Amino acid sequence: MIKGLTNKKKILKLNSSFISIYATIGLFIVLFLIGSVMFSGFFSGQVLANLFIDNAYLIVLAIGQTFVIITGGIDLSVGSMIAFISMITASLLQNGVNPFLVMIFVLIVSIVFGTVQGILVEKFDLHPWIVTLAGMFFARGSSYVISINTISIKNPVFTAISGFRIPIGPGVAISINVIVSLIVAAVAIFVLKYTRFGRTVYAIGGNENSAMLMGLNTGKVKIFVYTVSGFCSSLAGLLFTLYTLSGYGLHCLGTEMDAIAACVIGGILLTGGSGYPIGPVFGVLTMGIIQSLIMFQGNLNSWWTKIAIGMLLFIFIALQRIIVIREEKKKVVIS
Amino acid sequence: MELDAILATVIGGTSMAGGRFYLGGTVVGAIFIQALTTTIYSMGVAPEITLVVKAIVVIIVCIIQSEEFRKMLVRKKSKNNTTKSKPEKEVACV
Repeated sequence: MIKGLTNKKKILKLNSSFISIYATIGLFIVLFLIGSVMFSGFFSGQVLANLFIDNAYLIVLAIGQTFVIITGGIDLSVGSMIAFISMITASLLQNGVNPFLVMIFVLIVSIVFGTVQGILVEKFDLHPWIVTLAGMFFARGSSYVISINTISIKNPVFTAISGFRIPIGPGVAISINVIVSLIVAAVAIFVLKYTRFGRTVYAIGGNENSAMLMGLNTGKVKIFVYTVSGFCSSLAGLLFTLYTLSGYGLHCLGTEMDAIAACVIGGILLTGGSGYPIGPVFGVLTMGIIQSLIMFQGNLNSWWTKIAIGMLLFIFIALQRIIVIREEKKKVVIS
Repeated sequence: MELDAILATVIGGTSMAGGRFYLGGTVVGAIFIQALTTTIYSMGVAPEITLVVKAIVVIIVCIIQSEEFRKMLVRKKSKNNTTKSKPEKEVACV
């Protein structure tokens, strides 16, 4: 009896920490239902699959961002990393380098890039905003240095991967990008929940000093978090290159803000220490569904997406703040 | 543009960690940045490289300002001068 009661209480408690994610998932379902009622042809598997196909790179980006934000940092370089990666890929392919070597090379480049950012943040105690802002301009500038023109990709391997569709049902097909992004999401969920690294990430976000005093290796983990973000941004860059089949220095202007917005909508606190990696996935999907709603509507300017997302962000930040304040009040009563 | 504003403030000597600022320095920093940009243009170097240069300058200035970096430098120096500086320190302590 008592056990049952405590279990019930536990479930209720879990509810309060999951509330942001539930709100996002609920919003996603509501928006999808609204679309289905308003527009014929909206309620179909392919619309849902297209959400994943169009936003696969953003999902990967947001997952990388999640790790950094949970430690209380931020990574602004991810958007221009996509442009940088697409530029490197396109120009190397233009010169006839093996496509698989190119993929490995860009992944290594971004891992090095992310690690250097992490070392600057951790070893020299610089503010992550400044370091990653500089990283953002560095990546953007480097992609201009490679070329200021668009380079299209005509490599057969890339076009084959980009055009490949995997049928998952009647009239529904997804691309390889979707599978990669879902794998990344699954790995992130596993790592953050079940590994020592993941728990250390949460501990750093909660309170870095006490995590250090507990004997956790905060320095290494903080550097590694930026490495993960760098890796994810280059993976996202590859997915985006496959999606658009071109390299251009102006790709993804401001996408880092989309990734951060997806994290916030997905219930990850910008102050760090709380949130679940499934949240950003739904954050991205919610943003995507707003976009497709506006596309289906037809009359509205596509910039209404940004306005809607801005309002959503505000609502979700207010919601999070209310939750935090309520929890703090509870703590005060106990002590 | 964001980077330019931050760069101007940082070059002017404002501490990234907060608590120390020089408004006059910021003006000098802004002029410095424009000088840098104009130099790059007039030297005939591709203007695209400006962003990269600015990013590197920001990082270098930030590193120089950071306490940790200074400590590292001081440690290296004191390692070289340990034999000389030791007796002086003892005197100072007494």
